[in-house]
Amino acid sequence: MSNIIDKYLLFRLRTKQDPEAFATLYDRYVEAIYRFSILKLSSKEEAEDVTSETFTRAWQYIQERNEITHFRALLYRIARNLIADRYRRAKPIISLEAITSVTFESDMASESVEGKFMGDKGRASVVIEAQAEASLIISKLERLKEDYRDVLTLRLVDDLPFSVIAGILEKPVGTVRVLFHRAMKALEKIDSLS
Amino acid sequence: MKSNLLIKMKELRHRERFIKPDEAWIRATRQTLLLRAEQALPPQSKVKTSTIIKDAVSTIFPATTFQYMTRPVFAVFSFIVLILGGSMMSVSASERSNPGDFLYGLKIVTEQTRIAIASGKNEKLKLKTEFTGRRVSELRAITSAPQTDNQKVSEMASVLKQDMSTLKDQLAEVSKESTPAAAVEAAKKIDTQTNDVIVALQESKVNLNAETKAQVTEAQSAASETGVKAIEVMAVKHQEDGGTVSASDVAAAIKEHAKIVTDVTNVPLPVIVTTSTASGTTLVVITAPTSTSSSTLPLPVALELGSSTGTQATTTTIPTLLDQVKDATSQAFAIQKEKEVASSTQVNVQTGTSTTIITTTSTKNE
Repeated sequence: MSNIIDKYLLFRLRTKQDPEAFATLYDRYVEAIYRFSILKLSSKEEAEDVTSETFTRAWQYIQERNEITHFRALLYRIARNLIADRYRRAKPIISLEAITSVTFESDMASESVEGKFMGDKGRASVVIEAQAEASLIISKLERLKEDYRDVLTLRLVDDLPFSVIAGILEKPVGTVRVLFHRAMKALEKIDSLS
Repeated sequence: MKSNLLIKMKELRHRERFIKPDEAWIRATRQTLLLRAEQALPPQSKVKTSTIIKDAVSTIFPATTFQYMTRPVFAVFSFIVLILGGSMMSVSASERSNPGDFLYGLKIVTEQTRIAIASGKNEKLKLKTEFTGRRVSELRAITSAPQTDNQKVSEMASVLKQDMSTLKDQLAEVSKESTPAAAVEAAKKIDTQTNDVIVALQESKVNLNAETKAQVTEAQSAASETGVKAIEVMAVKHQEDGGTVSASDVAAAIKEHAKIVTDVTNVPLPVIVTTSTASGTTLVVITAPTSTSSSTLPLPVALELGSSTGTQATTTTIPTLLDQVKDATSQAFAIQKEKEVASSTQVNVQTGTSTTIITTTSTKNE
């Protein structure tokens, strides 16, 4: 259903030249891409950069009239590549200090998150804890093959359906399912060793 | 036991849900992107309907959608092609088959079906004529084989004999019910075809045993009978309406038929056709054989056809005349058959003129 809405918006964008359609696509996925990015990057700014760059690239992709099977997967794929580029440029060190220094600088007013009323500090601490957890998990997962790592995080952390993961990894859905199954076995092995 | 890492990852997923980007940043980025999009997009212009449809199809059903559909769709398509195309191809392939071939049965069934579904007696007759032409081709194919199969030729002769009888009956009906022009057209075709059948059957006799030869002669006799019927239709239609077929055409048909029968049977047919176009009259004369044959061939009959002055003095004699021709030809074939049967019983036949042979066989039968 979600994909059909995306397709309709893309159709409007292409035929009606409606920029609002792109804005709607942005509204639908900006948070998800941001969350996806922040767990893998060292700072909030980096995550924001990657997120906005992801949408800019997606816009270019649409303008070039490339075929888009799954818009959501396209966004994740772009974000993933951008993060990988940053990793290549300088291996990020997700240190608690770095995260704290950035996230506490946030000057945002208090907002409701998931029905809970959180202050800046509360919100920042959620990010810090999540990043720390992610960092720990990622360090353990580093023992796994890259494919396994990707499929596990995309499925278990980012909670993406196999169809989207298949689009991100540019592999058939069946292959992704098999990959996930094997990655889970490998994960159990790592656990038993540690 | 559940993996620790798995639990941790699921916990992280839970935590991740509480991570939200700054609202201000979201708004600012949205603004920037929207502005960029508005600048990049061309001013509202009329988009072609074809482009809209193309975009709709490619956006909603991208190539990958079809990838999943390809196999089942192709399978169904192949199945339909196999059923429809396959049967059509089989029928067309069967049309080139000969007796004894795998698809020959299908060919015959297809022909029968076509005749059955044909509308009108004239249409049915046309098809029957066409299919008889196929039998002739098949017969030629059988006899052109290095080893002539007596059995196959015998079967084919029997089929042709049957076909000839059917054609004769169908022609009689068509001549009664159809327009004179249609009847004459059909009669002309059948006349040509019967001549062809007689010749083809004669050609098949080369390497046959005497018994089969006799069967072939029977078929030839039937073909001749149908040919005479066709000529009769032409003659009758000529008398009814001179415009549909000329007297000289009828005369030529009789002459040609007589010639073929004579060639095939070696029995000189007592048919002499004289035409006199100058006076506008065509005279067909049947006389006794000029040879000294002792065979009992029909007595001379004279007929005046299609006088330009409108005199139809011999109208009633047309069937009589053609009965005579029919008797003459059937007798010629009977003699031929007797000759073949005689040779199969190892009778020492004197070689010489055909007259001698006729005498010999006639004597033996008596």
